[in-house]
Amino acid sequence: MIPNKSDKRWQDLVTGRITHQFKSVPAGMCVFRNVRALSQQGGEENIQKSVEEVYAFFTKYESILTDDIKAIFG
Amino acid sequence: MLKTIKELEQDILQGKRLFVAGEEELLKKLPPGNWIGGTIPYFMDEKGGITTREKVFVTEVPSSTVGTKIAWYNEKNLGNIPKDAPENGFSFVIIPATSKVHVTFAQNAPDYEGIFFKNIIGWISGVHLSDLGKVSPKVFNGETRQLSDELAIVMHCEIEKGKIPTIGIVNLFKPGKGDLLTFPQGGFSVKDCLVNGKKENFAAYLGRIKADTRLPLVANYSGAMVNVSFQAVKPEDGVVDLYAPVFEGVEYRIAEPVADYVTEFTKALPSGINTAFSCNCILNFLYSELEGKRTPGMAGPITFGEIAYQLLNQTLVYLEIKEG
Repeated sequence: MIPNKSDKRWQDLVTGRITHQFKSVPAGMCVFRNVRALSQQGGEENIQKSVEEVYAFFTKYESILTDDIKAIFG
Repeated sequence: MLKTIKELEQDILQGKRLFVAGEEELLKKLPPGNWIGGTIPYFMDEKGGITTREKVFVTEVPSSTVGTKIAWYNEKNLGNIPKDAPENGFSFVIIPATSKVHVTFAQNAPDYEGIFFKNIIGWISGVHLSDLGKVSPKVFNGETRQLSDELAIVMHCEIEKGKIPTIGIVNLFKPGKGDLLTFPQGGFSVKDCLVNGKKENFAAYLGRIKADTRLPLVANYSGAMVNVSFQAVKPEDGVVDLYAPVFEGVEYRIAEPVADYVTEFTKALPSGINTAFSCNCILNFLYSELEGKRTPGMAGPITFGEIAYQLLNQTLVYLEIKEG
């Protein structure tokens, strides 16, 4: 079960404060793209957009991301 | 599997939905039908790696496919592929090597809106190495029997509910323990790099460390190892040409050597997977001398680039349809 979008760990994930080696290829690429983009242009608005995107990705593919979700969110 | 043109004709006439790889002259002979194709004469067959101008490699779309749609894309609308891709399904993309769409896709795919929300898989078509510079790689739309060396061809495949398409990669290369490399400007052709933060000409650097350029640059994309392979090092011009672009802000290292591709491949292969499609890179085929060797469970075209959401190099890409 993924945590609510307001959970701070989403922000930590997209800003690279949580580093996780994903088993899922698109999950790794998706998170990496956001971490890279935010390292070049941060700011609250961009962080929120990244959280929206990554949260939506996890929501869509929750059933095949179980190992990664467990590793990140417990 | 590898088939003769006559065998493939039967499949097409029976209305099978197919991805085809083979020599241009063979693909031109095929009847119209629900297929797309790209040119290449190198394959990993179930019996081993093979070069043939006599047969084509045929992959039937997964049986759980409930609908297909074939479409051309140019440089301007390439970014629409994720939008056009089915919500539950995958889009199979073939792009001719060295075309503008190849360059455009390589440089921009990671930033296409929704790219990671859909399943985008495919390959870059090529030619026999003896034909390099003489013949252009092509892609085919089997519905219309049109071919192109400028456009990308895509078959969007919708999968029945309850099944989940999954794209995976097998990349034996890991970042080595050498210098950390970043690039102030991205692209296929590079002049300067930062070696552990210090500016240096990249061609001069590779010469200085006597780099084995059969080993790609590797970047760790949060667990997905993404390679960029070397095409040519030109110290006289101070330029390094690559088979995929490097990106600004991404950290690369030259890969650790792989002792024996087939042995390491067998170890790296995830267990229990049932692939619907796979392709592997021409550089793995050449450098690891895969002709006559088997990569168990993985058969398909040997390509001039692999697509798993974005352009990859020296990587095996596969599609699996999982139960939901």
